[in-house]
Amino acid sequence: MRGIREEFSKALEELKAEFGELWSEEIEGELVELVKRYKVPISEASSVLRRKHLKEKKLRISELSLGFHEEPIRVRVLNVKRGGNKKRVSGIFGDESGLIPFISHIEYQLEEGKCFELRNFLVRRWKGIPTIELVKDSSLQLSSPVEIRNPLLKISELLKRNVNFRVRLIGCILSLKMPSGIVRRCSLCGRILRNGRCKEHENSKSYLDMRLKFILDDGSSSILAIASRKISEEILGMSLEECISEGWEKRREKAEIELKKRLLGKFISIEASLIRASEEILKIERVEVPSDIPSILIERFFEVYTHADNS
Amino acid sequence: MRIIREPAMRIFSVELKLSEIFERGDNSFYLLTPLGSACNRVYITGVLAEKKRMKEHWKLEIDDGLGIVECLSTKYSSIQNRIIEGLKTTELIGVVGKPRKFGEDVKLRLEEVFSIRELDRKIWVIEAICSAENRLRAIESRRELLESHYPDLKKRIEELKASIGELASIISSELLYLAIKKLLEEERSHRELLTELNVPENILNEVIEELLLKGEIYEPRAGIYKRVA
Repeated sequence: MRGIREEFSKALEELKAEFGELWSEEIEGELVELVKRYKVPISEASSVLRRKHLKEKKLRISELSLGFHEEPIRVRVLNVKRGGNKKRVSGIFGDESGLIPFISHIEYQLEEGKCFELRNFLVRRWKGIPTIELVKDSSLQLSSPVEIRNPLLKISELLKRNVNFRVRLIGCILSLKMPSGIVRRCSLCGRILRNGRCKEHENSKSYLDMRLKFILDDGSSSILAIASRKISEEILGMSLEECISEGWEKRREKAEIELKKRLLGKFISIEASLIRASEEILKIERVEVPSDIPSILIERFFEVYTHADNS
Repeated sequence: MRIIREPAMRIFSVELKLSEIFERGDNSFYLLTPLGSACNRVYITGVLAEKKRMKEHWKLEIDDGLGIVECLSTKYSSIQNRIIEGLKTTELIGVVGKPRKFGEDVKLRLEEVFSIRELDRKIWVIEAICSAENRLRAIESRRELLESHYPDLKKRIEELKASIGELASIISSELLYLAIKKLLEEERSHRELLTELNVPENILNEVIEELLLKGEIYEPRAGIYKRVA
């Protein structure tokens, strides 16, 4: 009996959060009636309520979840790419809560800078990133202008959202995972060689590459991040050639110490996408190593400090 | 189930020393600070006051500006030991570690140790003050309830508040300099500065006077300031 009660209160909380402003006591009454009087399973009852009441709710990109959406969402087209496959169109949508990539196999009149109201679309993972897919039934209507904002997030906020495409974050590098720095990759599949061998291709050729794998921590939570060669060179302040000339490829232990000296404790601000496959990984797309105290930290400080001073 | 790595809390030594260690059911140890938050990993920066070679490991003492924290390295990581060998006393360093109780004191079991730039230290101080003030605010909203259970809470909070407040006032004037200089690239009136910076008026006046004396800003018209190009 207690199990059902707990399940019910959990479902109620979830529904409240999802409905937001639309929530009223009548809806709660409906849920109670469905579950108690008609003995409808709780998950079924909540989805009935969703179908009934959430049709008119306007979505925002940060609130999207995987699956089919009938509800309208207003977005601005940030960029459009046509090519490769004749009909295939891809690009990025944005609104005041964030960005999301989109893909369509049907030609819609999408142009950069225009704003649309979308209905009946699909959200699916594409290479680990949630992506809007426009399908046959999707409807697009021109709408009033939408502002694009990409707010600076805390890492703990990131883990609550489903869509984290090119989010802005700040934090410290607090731990380094090996192999980082100079690595050898298989020329056929791009995997990192372990003990001089690729997992799949035994006698393949290899090439030198640079990558970094580290823990980014901002005090609220922490996450694993991966940087490609270009980004790594920017964070490290050294190019691959310079690293090789220092002898990092041969002397592994010296290289690890040198990397830790240069990276740990460094404060960086990044733009990255959260990829969810077997584990959650931040793929860094742009990085900045500030040379002065970032203004967001100054703002946060004065928000807290003046308040304490006044009291 | 999703496993999230525990974040490293930015915490001052005064708060760390007054904390307790408790064990959770799953054999993991957590730090319970006097301000009521729990964590099992901390990040501290400061000046390396002393390093001492024990039999198989190193003992470090870090001064974070408000007190000294002792850290113990592990004997199993040769890389960590080699990094510690390269550190000099009076150097600015940062440590990430797990708090543990050794006898009466809370010490850190080192995970990472590294030397840092001056800028990273300043950022750490700002973050540590912000998180401490947030915790102070949270606990003050529940104060009456807590005081009936912990009679000495009031005294402890006052002590912490005083020592953190001292450091905060030093760093706040430095940050105000930076913020004002940035704002005064264009002409701005006294009232505009006040609303944008959201600081008490007497503190702002002090900083403006000092900047005027130093000749870094000037007053083109009465009550309107601008930075010297």
